[in-house]
Amino acid sequence: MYDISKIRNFSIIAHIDHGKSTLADRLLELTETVEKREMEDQVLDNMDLEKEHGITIKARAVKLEYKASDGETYVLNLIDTPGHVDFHYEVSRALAACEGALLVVDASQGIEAQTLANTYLALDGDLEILPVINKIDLPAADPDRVIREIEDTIGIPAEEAPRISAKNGLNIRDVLEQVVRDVPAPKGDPKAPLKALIFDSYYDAYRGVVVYVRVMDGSLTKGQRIRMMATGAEFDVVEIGYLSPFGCRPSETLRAGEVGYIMASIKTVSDTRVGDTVTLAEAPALTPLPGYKKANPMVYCGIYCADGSRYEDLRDALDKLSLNDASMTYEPEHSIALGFGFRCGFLGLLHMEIMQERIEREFNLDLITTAPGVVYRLTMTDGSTVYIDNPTNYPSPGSILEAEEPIVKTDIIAPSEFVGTVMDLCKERRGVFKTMEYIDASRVDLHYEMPLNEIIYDFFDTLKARTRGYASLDYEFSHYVKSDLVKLDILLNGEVVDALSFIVPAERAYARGRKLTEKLKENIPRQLFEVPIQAAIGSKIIARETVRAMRKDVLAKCYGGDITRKKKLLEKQKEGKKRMRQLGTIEVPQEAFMAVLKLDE
Amino acid sequence: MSNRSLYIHVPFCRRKCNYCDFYSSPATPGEVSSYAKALCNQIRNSTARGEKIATVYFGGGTPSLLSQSDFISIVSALRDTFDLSSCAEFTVECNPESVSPSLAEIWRNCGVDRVSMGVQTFCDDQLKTLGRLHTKARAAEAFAELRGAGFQNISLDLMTALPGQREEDVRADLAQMLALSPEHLSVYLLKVEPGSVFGLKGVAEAEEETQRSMYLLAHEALTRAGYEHYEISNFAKPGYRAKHNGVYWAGGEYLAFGPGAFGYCRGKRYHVPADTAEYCRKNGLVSPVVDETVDIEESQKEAIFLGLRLSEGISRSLIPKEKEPFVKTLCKHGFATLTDDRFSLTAEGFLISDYVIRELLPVK
Repeated sequence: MYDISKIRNFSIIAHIDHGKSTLADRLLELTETVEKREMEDQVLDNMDLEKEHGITIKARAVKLEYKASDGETYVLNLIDTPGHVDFHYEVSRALAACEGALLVVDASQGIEAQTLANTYLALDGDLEILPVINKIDLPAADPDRVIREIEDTIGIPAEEAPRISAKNGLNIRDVLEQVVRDVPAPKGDPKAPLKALIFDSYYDAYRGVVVYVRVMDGSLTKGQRIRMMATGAEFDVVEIGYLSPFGCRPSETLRAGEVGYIMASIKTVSDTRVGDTVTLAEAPALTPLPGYKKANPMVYCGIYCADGSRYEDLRDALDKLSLNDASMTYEPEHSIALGFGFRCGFLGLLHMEIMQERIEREFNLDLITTAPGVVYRLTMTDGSTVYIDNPTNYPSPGSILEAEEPIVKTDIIAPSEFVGTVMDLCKERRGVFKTMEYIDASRVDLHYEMPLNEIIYDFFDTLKARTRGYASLDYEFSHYVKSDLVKLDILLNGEVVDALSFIVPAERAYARGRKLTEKLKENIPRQLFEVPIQAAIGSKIIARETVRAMRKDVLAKCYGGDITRKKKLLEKQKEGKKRMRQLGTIEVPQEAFMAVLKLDE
Repeated sequence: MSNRSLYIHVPFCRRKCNYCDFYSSPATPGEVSSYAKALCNQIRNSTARGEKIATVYFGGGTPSLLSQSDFISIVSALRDTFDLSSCAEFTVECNPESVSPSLAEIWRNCGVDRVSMGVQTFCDDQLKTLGRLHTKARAAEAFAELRGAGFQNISLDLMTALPGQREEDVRADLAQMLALSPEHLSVYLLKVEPGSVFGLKGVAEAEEETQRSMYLLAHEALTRAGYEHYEISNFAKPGYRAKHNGVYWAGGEYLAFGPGAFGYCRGKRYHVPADTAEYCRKNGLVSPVVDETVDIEESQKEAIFLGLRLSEGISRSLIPKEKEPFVKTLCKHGFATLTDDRFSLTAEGFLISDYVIRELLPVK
């Protein structure tokens, strides 16, 4: 049965909407791994949210058996990768589990920034890249142009790329044949000490953590004791097996080259970090597989319940979600304005949005979140170094010797007509131009170094808006750089609202302060009395607006005895107000806390 | 249980006013009389037969469009079916153009003791804009005819914050109203309802600031003239508060007759379907639609939101404990007053009463 030369491990790289999930579905169908009729569209994405966002959040894997035209039956392990920029590291580990990757490109759109970034990751990992031109059924499809683009930009031959329509099931078999022919069989010695790469894991309420691995060397059998080489944690293997679209298929052993899962009564995913190496406790490997790094959150925000009394429910929600996502961090914090909540760290903005949405949906909580911020590195006058992820904790300027902010390497691909626009935007956002390449006559890849702080301020939406939706973005942490930063406070009715404070480059403080007070004026409904909104640096007021007092809010008539209608109207209006937060005597809606992000509109 | 009231809806108007979205339609005399016949039948089949009635109210629509004989037969049906001996108020709504000395006489003879007339404004141009069919002169004449027939309790409706209206226009309207010295006045701010002609035409409501100053202007002028501002939009000379509307505000029960009428009976708020043709076809015997069942929780809400419409306000015990600071803030800024046992809104407070009520209603 086990024949390493008949195994092919591969993943699919594609931009959002370029058809990755649809192609995966077709592959499953064609290999009869899934019957067409039992197939819910896009089986690989199995979280509801993923379907709505049209993206894959966490990697999944599935084992296919394919009888190729050479008459042999091959085992194809398809390892799905997250498509979004925030999950850069996860993508790199999923790719490290493969020998090849399908590069799926939309025949009408061409290559996008994320695709390119992931393709470079795959090339770095010495993967065989097989281009696939999808959506050839579209009227705007121009496969020849896209093939040239791939050859020019990535420098790999694309002449033989299958031209397919995943939607219509056209030429799918060609894709599988190429996988069998061109993706190298895995190398590895089933007799060597065990080295298995963790490329994903998830928490199952009944069985504990399920770890997805690619065995690089050695073999693993049920009942053996394993060790995670980075964390040192040890567990007894309860079950191992292969991955089908419908869940786990137990087996006795997993051997070099194979992809499967391990269950070992593991309580938390933080013991099974992606990128870590699983070995045997009895006969451990000498060195782990290369490339392990702990994913560090880059973006932080405060998360509070709209209803302060549900703090414990929020803790419970975060506890449960973190079982499944070791990259999210959370620490209790207290805000004078918002009460008890958590400071949460995320890999990026999308990661943050997804987690917020999951808390609200899966745990039925109304959240108030503060504007996201980055981690600043401060060297204090006493020589110590502190990392600040919450503006409230920003020390007084006198005690800071030097402040630094994180810089990210940024790739933006845009049609060449928008080069000027993109450059202007990046300049506005303190971007430093690095290089620029023409992908073809009509598209440009711009490389910048930008403060992450600027990217989280609505950069992507602004970029999309200014390029009529055509630009795509990828970024990755690079380094810290010295920066002249100040903390900007917002006062409502003379009181500092800590949850509205933020860190800003000194040169931007006045403009941001002015815009934010204006924005808050729009967002804060009228109150019983006039409310001054002020922006301040330390004790110095730099901007002021006023929310006028409420003048009239009454429907004088009572609908001729129709009490129900009037009552329902009032209740409906009250519903719409749920997300208001009482700050002292002032009511502030959720949007106000996010207003700082929308200053460029 | 205290006595129930009766509400009779007359769903006809010669033409619909431009601001109105109540249920009414134009009608031929034939349609009116077949409605009257169905109405009599609905009344005579009431399960509340024999009950003592607290108040009677003919609203609309335009009740003054009922012919004299139709009116007489409806009142006969009422008297045959219910015990009106302790009826404390019998009101008929009317429009100036359909009042006549003889109709007023009939009403008097039928036991009507209060008339509510939709004057709205004494400015002829504004009356036209509103789509009203009377003139300023006709309003004064109709008022005199009602007095002539012996009505000692007359209420007039006034609208303010009309399109283009200035403060001095409102002052003039108020002065002319006061010159007639009605016992009761209802003063409304024009609300542009989406389903009305104004709504469809996209007429804009007056600025908040304008609405506010006009409202306070009316409050001042009328209280100075001796009227009590006893409800958000109602003013009365001492002893002349509207008793029937008082039943609504106190959470009392009332029976609904006629298509589009609303009622409240045995804890159920209901209405008679607003379909006159169907109503006539079924000779008044249509099934009422229950809008909601008022349990203890709902009736507490109602006590808050209806009670705060009145100058007496509500019992302090109805205020949720966590809302005490809010209530104190209201008092501090002159929107409300708090005594040992009552919480009530001032005229300034009436102006933001929807906001206050929303705050005080419990969260679902």
